[in-house]
Amino acid sequence: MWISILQWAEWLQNTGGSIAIRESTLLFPFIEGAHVLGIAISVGIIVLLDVRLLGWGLRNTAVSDVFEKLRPLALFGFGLMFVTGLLLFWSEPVLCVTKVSFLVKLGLLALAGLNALIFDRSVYPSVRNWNTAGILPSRAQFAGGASLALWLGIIFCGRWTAYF
Amino acid sequence: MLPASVYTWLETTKVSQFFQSSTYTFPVTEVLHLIWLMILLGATTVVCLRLLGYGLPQAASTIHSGIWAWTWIGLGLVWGTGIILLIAEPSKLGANSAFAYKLWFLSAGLAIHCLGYLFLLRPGRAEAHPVLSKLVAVMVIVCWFGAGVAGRAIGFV
Repeated sequence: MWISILQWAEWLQNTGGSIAIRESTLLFPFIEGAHVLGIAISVGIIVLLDVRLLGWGLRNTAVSDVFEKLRPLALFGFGLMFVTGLLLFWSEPVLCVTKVSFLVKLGLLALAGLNALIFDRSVYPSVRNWNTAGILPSRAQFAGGASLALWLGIIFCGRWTAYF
Repeated sequence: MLPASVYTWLETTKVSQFFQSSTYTFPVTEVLHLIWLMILLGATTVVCLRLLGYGLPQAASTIHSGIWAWTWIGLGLVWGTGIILLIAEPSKLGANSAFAYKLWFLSAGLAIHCLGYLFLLRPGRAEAHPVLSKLVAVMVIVCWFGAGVAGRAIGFV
């Protein structure tokens, strides 16, 4: 399976789009800049959502207000981050799939998505019962703590990929 | 922004030479720099959105009172880790035009934060100065996000 993934990455790296991004003087830095901007918007807001769930800040603001007003912005940032991330991967797929930190980042991204899905389906529907509480139910706190740890790990692995 | 002699002097200090010889100091500090920048951006963006008339329904001063600690911790650690990065690579950064832009964004951001942003975040002030609130919010967002993008551009210039 590993060989076929590597072969696919080599094929992808030789496509016209991949070569164009990699060899362009302006395109790669532009996409990378937009990627950083997307991360800054999405992770900056996600951290605040997590801080509210953990009771570490915004205690005077209702949980539903924090989520309903700020989540669209976090999703916009995530969309920008995701699209530009795909383009960056397209430009150097072989390098990416052979880096442990990149593979760990993908795993952490999947776990962050799963954590958000579980929170959305099984914890958030009962928000009316604890909307204005300073200290939230343990399941909500756990979701916030897990999200915070996973996103910090994603940033760590993403930047680490450039070094090792 | 800083005289070239400052970068040359920094390069010769023992602490800089220690950082230069260390494999992990620069990457670990850069990751922490990025993380604290995200936290600073998140905390200030939410307040700036309110100053612009969007986002959370409460007054900007109330929102700020719920996250002021994160703003200050983020600001302090972004500057703290940034200084370590500068000490670790003074000559390279001193000759980099993107770093000069980043310093301008950071300095302007800090000045606006202390002079305009904090002034407006006392109860009732933002509501009393709607135009100034919007202006300061835009400048704060431009400065902090500009610093982030300029920081990433350092690797390409």
